[in-house]
Amino acid sequence: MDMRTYIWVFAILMLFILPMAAAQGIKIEEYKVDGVMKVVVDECGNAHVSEVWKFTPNLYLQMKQTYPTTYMLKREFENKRSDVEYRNMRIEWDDSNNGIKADYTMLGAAVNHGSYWELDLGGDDVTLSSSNGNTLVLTAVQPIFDGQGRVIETATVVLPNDARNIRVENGVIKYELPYEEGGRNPLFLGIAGAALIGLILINVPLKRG
Amino acid sequence: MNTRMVGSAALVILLIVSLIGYVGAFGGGPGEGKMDYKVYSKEEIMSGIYKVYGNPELGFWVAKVVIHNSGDGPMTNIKVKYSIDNYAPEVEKEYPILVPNGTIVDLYYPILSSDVTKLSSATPSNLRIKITYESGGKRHEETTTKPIKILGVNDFVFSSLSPEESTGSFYDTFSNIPFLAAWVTPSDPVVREFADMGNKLAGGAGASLSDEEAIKSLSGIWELAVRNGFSYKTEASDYWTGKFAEHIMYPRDVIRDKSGTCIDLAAWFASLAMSQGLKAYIVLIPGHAFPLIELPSGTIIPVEATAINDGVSFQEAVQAGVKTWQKAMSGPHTIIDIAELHSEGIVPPELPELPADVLSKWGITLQGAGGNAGGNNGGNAGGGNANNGGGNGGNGENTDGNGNGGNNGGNNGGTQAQWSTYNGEYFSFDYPAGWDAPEDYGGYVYMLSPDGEFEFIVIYQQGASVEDMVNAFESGLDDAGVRINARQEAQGEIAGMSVYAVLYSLSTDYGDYAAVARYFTAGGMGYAVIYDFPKDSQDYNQLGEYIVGTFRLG
Repeated sequence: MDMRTYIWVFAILMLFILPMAAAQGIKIEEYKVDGVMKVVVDECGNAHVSEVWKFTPNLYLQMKQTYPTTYMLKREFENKRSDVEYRNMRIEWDDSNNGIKADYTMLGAAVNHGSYWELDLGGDDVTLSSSNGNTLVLTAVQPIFDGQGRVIETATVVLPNDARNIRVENGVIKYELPYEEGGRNPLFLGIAGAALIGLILINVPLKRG
Repeated sequence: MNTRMVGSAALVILLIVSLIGYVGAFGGGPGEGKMDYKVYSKEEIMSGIYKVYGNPELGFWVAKVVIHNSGDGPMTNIKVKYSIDNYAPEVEKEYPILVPNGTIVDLYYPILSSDVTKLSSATPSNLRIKITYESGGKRHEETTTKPIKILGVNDFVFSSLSPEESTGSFYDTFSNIPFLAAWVTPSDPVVREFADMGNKLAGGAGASLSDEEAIKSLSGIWELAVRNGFSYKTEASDYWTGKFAEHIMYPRDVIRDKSGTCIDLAAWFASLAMSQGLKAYIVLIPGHAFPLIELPSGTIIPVEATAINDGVSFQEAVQAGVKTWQKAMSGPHTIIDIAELHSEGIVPPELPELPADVLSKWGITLQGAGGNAGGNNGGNAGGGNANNGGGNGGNGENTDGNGNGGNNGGNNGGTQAQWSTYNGEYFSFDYPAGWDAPEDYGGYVYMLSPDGEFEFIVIYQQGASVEDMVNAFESGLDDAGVRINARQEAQGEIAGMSVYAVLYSLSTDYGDYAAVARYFTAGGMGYAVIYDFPKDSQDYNQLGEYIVGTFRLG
């Protein structure tokens, strides 16, 4: 029931769908959930997230029974209830695709530990599929409802441009992004370099062929 | 001075100035961090699930602090301290740095003292939060205190949604119901001993070995309860209808008191079954709760635990349970898997240690209470007060343990409110046991209070629409010479449905009355459920709402 999970939105919603699923426990049904998520982490540690979830019709119906209105869906992401802090939450049912779409910003998703940052994706079942520079592609497969179903999630995580030494450890992305104190404007450094070169050019006699 | 010297001097000055600029001496240097923060906190803590709050895996934080750096420099060495007066010592979280425009979201999962389980009623306390950080070479500190209520160990709040957030639907109203798992106590020595006695009564059974053995064991446990006069009691009138909170007894309390509400009895029987190695679930439907027991083969049997009141056999309780289950499946319901919730960490609190012979002190014996062996509720009720009970309490001398005394007539010898159930072809509802039973006049069921001031009417008609039912009732008023002074449309709840409701202000030759009507269709039938009462009679208004709350289809 960890809410700060890799599949953030889905995890919260499934918390509440569980009783319904248990109600169906008497008969065997198969549930499938496929999710695609893009997470862009800015230099302050905020995550800008877009998620699309598709459900099998049986599960989608149960979700709709539990959250018959979009208000009830959105209510689960009220900051006073959630364990993260959302901004600009937009979530909606997609009846034609048995799905849910969500876009939001999660403040403080990545935590600065001084020498490194940490983005907790939750769960050990997250595996790194590929990486290219500051972009990681992760996948997770999780059983749900006592093995009656499974969730497959693919997440593309884009870290800040200057992130380096990126690694994934136990479902946690760690990276380094040293904080540059304000005032260390590279423009000044450029001017200093130009002045230094000018000094050299003026004062060092050059051999002229 | 030649040109080279002038140029060199200018370049040296430019070099120095740019280096100074780079280290920030022109005001663009390391600025100061500035903290904005927000605190979200729970208004109350349920002592019965105090362990849940300390488990971050479950996500039920007590406080959430959102710290934002709105300055232009970093905040460093940030510390957030939390404590709850008398019940949770101070803990501290640390963050080395928060960059400008960054945010920290910190959650507080208090390790509460088990002393909270000694609270029998809500107790006020304070949640204290202190945030310190460094910025611009200075140390800053902010403190905040939030009131928090520590509820008594039996207090159960069914929903944490505020009234303005709740849709009023069944699932919203009972959103906390998974926490009920903390009231299921299969490991409690008192429960185990009771179950062992039941097993003994059954001639010894290994419940987890086979379905047959399980049924034998459960029958023995049930029989022990019947012999000892266990009964069902109704909830307080505000339970299902208003405040969304209830005093829920632990199974040991049910054994001590030999009675419980439907929810108490569900937790009690689920505990007993689990103590014998069986899986158990609790089903919650509007106005009712009952346990499901999973037999070793995987077969699930519903048990109408409140049937203990009628002194029926276990087999009959299961038969009644099947009917209840069928009703449950036709409407909103929630099933909680106790073992799964326990494994997730929603576990019972520590309960006080009791003497080893506590069952005999409470009068629990294999033969049954006093001279009441086998008499179950009949004898029990007969000894109760005169309020509707006792009259039919009988068969107290039936020593075979299967006496059928009591039943509905005698089941109300307790001191709490007394109720009977009207079971019609299409619907049922509870009504005060001392009143004349509702009568079906073919198309409508009518009940009148003994003082003639309160009427409860259910009009039903095959194939009728809501509009038809409205017309049927309102034209009926007209025919009876009752004037409708005002009608206010509203949404109402009945049988787990949100339905069209109308509040009427009426004038009759006998005075001014009010009526509340709920109109709906179900299963191809149109219904109007109405009660009326003297205007301003809040007692009758509450009674009407209670009866409506017990209304069930099927």
